[in-house]
Amino acid sequence: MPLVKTGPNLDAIFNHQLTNVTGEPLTPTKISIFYLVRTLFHAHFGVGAVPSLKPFNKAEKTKAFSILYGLILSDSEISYDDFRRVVRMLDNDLGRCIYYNFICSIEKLAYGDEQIEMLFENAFYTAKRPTHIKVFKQEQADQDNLTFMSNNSFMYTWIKRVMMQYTRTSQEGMFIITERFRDWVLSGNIENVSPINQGINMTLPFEINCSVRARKWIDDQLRFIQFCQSKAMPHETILDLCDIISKRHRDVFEVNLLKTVVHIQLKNPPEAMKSLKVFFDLSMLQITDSARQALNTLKLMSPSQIALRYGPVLQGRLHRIFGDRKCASELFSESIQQSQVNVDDMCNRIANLELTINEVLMSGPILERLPSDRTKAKKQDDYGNETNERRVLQNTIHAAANINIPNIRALQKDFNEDYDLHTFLVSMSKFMLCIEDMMDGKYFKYNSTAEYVCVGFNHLRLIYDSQNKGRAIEDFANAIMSSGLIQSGMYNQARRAAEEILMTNCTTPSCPKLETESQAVSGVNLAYSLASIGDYDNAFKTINSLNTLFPEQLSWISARHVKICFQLIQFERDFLLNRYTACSDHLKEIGSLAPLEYTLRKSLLLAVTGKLSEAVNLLKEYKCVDVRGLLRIHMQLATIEAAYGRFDVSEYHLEEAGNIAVNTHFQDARFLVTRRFGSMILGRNMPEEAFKVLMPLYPNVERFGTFIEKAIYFMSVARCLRLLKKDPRIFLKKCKLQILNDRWPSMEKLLCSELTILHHKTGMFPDENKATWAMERFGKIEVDFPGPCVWIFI
Amino acid sequence: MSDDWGTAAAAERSMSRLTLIQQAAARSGALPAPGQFRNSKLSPFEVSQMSGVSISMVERGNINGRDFTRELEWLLQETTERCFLDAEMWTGEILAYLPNEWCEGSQPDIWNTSVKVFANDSTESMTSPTSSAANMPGDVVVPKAKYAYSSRFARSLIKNKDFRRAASFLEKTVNENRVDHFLYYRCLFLAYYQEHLENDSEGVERKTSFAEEKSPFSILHQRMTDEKLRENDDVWFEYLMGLIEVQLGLKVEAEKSFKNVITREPRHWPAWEGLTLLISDIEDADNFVIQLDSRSLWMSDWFMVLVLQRFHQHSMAIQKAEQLVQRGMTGIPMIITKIAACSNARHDHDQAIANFEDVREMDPYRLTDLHLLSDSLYIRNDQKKLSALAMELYKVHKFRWETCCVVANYHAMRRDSEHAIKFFQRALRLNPGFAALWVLIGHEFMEMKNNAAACVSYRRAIEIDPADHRGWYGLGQMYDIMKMPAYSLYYYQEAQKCKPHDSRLLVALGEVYTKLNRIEDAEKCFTGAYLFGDVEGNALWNLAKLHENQKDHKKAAQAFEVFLVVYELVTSAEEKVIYSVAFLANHFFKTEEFDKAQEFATKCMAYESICQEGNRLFREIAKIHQREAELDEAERIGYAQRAAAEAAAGGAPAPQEELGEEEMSEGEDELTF
Repeated sequence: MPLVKTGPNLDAIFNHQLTNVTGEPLTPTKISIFYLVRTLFHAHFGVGAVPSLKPFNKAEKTKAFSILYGLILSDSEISYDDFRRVVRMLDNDLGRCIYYNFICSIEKLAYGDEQIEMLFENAFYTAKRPTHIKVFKQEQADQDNLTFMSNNSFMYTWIKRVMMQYTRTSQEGMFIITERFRDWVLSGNIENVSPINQGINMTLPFEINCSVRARKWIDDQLRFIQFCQSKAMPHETILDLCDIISKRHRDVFEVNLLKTVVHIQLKNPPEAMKSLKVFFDLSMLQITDSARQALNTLKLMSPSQIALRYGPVLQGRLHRIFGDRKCASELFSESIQQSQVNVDDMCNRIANLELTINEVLMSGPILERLPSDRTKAKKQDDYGNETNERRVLQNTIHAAANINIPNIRALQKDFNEDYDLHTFLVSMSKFMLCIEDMMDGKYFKYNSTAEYVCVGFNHLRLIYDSQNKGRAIEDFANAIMSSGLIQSGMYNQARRAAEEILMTNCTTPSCPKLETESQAVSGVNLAYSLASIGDYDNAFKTINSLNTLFPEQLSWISARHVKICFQLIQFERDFLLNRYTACSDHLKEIGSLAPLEYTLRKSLLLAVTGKLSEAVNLLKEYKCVDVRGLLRIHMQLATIEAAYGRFDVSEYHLEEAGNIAVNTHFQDARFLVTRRFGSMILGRNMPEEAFKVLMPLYPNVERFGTFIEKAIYFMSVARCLRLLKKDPRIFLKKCKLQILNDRWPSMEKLLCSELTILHHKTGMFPDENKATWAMERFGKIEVDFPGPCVWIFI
Repeated sequence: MSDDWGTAAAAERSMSRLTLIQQAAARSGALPAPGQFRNSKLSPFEVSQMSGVSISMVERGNINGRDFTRELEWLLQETTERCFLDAEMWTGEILAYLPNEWCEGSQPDIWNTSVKVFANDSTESMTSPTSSAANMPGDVVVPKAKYAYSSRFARSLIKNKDFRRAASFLEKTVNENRVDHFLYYRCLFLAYYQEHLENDSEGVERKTSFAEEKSPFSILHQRMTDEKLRENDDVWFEYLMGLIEVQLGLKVEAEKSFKNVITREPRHWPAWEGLTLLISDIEDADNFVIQLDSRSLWMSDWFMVLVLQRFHQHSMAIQKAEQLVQRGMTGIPMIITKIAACSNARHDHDQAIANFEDVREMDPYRLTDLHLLSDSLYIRNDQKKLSALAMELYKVHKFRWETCCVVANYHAMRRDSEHAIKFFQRALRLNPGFAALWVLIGHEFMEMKNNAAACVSYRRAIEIDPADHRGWYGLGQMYDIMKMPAYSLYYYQEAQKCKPHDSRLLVALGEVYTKLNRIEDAEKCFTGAYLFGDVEGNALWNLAKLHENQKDHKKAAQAFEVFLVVYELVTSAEEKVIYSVAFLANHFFKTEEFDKAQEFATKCMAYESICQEGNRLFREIAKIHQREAELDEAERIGYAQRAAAEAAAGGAPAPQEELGEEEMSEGEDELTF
């Protein structure tokens, strides 16, 4: 016999941690179910030493079980009258006076002839019954595994839990139950039975009326909040229920974790931190998971160092979500140190990964590491890209955080999902590397990210994906990929990729329809890619549906992306229509959300409205670490300067931009710079050189250009051709195709003036009809969209 | 020379910091140094400057013994009649310790009034016309005498804690007697309360304790409101309603009720006492007291003492309590014990021990707050006294929680953590709402290196009282010991929030910031800790070391200087003083402030371990002076002045400086503590 270790008895000191671990709150209905089970036992096994002559056969058992399970699983109380009806049904099927016996036993309780006793008679366990020949035969013949009492059966567990709860109920509680039970039987309905309002059997909402269910509920809500906001309960309700849990179920400290997540959603970092700390402090003492040790020491509580390792990780994540990255990285290091001391490989990996993520983010305004500004002054087109990318990166942060959160649940329970977690971590880490490369504009093939990562998530797909980790990371990868595509100017492909993510997002038994940040990003990318090929109607449609999917109050992290996207696309559209006031309204909203985008567009607006030096200063003062951002700033500066005729300055900026572009793998960067260079030369009235520069770009423009970019390009080429006395009509036509539907009236005016020049009497192809038509068209547009046609080129 | 700190703006800033520190030094000089008896009196201004709280500290004249006695007489009479046993005991104790001179003057008066009042109430009111009118025609007429007997019997029942039964007897006489009318409701309240506690304790036995719903109280409250008892002439009704509101968790309403009671009857101590636990801040309490004006003879002041203690303003509480003593309430154990308790909280343990011992001499069986005595003895490591105390108490009061605490401390001092925990646990069973016990249990677990259990214990303390800084501090310390400073930061911050003016918490916070390399925050903490009266004397030292480690020697020197001013004569800080002197001597030598360097070199001579260093510096300084003298002479002889000056400023001292630095760093190694 092993010695019982001396030392303070933690069980005794911190007892109430253990009180509610199991147990099923007693209610009149549950007592009746218990008595019904007992009646059935009597019928099946016999009473006392007398075995039953007519045990149930398999079919009868099935009927009995289906009714019992129905009663047990029901989440609401039913009245005595209804209960009797159910038993009568059972009686019709089984006979053997079940109804009579049951009613007798219940009414004896109700009239005080007997007291409630939630036990099986001793005889049931101890009586030595002769194995009745019939019983034996029947059991042999059917080989049925429908036994009433089996260690693994749900009903067995349930009966145990009810019995345990009863033995734990205080004397007062027993009296109250007796009273309520009598009321329940005598009145026949439930309305007249007042709920139990004290003791461990107190009536609580069904989801959380015992520790087991409370844990399950917390688990579900945790997952919903992270993956599918709209399925989770409203935040206030969750918090209310959490309060009840922390008051009633002292052993369920996971509730604090749920509170943390909710407070993050409510943007309340202090409260989130408070709950997080409580969770980890309390989980320092856990119920020992080694039954053997418990038997040896006769103690259930054992200290656990897990909290020391994972506490800093989550706290760090919290700091990161709310922007305190320095603090976060200190915490991650502490976690690494703890995990090394305690030799916890998994934790070490997680903490290291977190540290990497954090560092990637810390190396400057990463958010700003965006793609290019291919636009020229006016051109705004693809904000899409840039924004997307930013968004993605931003996302990276949050998505990474979100995706990882399932691990939290691992903390609560066990660490047996090692393989799962391991694979997940590996692919996550590779991922971070890719993203870092992408931010530097260095990647080798446009879909390399996806390839890279798919290795990882294919692994994940192979294993049992119990916590949606595979789904989550797959989504994440796809979102990044679509952003990468947009960044490279492959709008159609991006659109298809984004659409695919959205389409394949459906509910499966093991996981709900995802509403994660990755999904939001994919949606936003879809909108950007639509906008960049000029399909504003569908873009706005997409955004509207995103808005309903990710309302601000549910998930601010995702809603942010949608908001930025909406404002940017609106800006672009209004800008093309020369509605500058509306543009500056759109900008107001995003100033704090996306500073780089804001700066670029603000300066554009200033330049357009003639405030040249302000525009230039704004751009120059903006400190940008991001490669793509820098590229865009230089291009935009060049554009603005060129528009004001300062070609040398413009040339300098273009050279700078060119230097950056050469070192990146952005598919579109070079042509963007070159195109601007060509347009600038054209502006200097050097059509021949300009044509030489522009012409080779043609295939790239066709592949990677947005509609705005394409229009400008075609227009530039057309003008070159005209000045070189060649036929520009084919390019004018292409240009016209890009700007159908009044998308860009200024450009159309330009087009008309080109046409007029072309078809004028003195032009290359004199055609009075066409010239007149062009002039009329010009006049019409001028009426609809007044405003000069400056700014077109560069 | 001493003012020559440099011209840069930064220097100016540090200048103002220095003056700040120096002012604080002057101010904190007013506080007795830790470990010494207080003999200087603090002005209220000084105290409020340190704590950041200001209250009115009106000096009031001596208490009139006759008024005082009359007031308490009234209270004793009322509480006895209404069976408020606690308050009766409280009043009785003070009266029993009444200063002799007051006794003599008022003795005859007491007997006269009290006898009369008693006679009035029990007989007259019972036969008053209103009460007889309550008998409806047709009722069986019960002899008056029987009513009197039944109401007497009800009182005995109350004293024997048989509240339900008492209530059923009082129901008969409710209309006969106004005191019985009140007692009836009070009995119901007590009955509910007792049942509530009993239910709770049954839960404890079964290990399932929940704060249960208190519905009977709300029914009672409703009933009293319906009968308009709050407006009843008898002020005790309103007090009772306040008590019910406390039970119902209606703190704001309860506070209002108690304040009303006091305004109606300033002699009503039980209401004052209830209010101490409800009042939301010191200013509020102060305003309330001022508004009462001088209608309250002394209870308002005692009330303020309790409020100040509750909000951790121990220095001010002591001061208020001492005012009461000066006004004539000498030799009253209640006041002396309170002063001792506050001294304990201020870490002025010698004072606390002395006061407690005074009380124990007067009244050896008075247990109140004695656990704090054991705490002080434990901290002073006085084995003999602590074991004597534990033995004595254990003999007479085994099952009082104070005793358990004392015995636990006794075991803790013997490093028998296991037994200590056992006794703390017992104390906790007897007094479950006392957060400090969980903190002590946590400390014992830390001793046993059981971090997890310690952590949960501290959490329990915080659960019971979220404003308990020791729980937070314990948690912070625990994680700090696990080498997780960033993780512990949160806890230290919380601790500091609970008690913003405690230097120890600030120093701890500063140390964490130092570890996290957040120098500015650390600096703020250390400076703050010093300004608020540095209990342990670490703040300046840490500040100086912080600057030294940051290679900011100028600031370090400033801090060391102030450190010397304050602690030069404190023997326990000798090692640090030596280090400071050596540092300063070298620093001023390096910065060529030779006068000051000489001054500190002289100080070096006073300490054996660094007198070598002092000698060396003297030699170096002498060399420089000599060289300067030579140069002067050379000038006189006729060398070009400019060349000479350049050589002196640029060339000559430079090698010296390097030399000094080298030596310095050696010395530093030796002297690093």
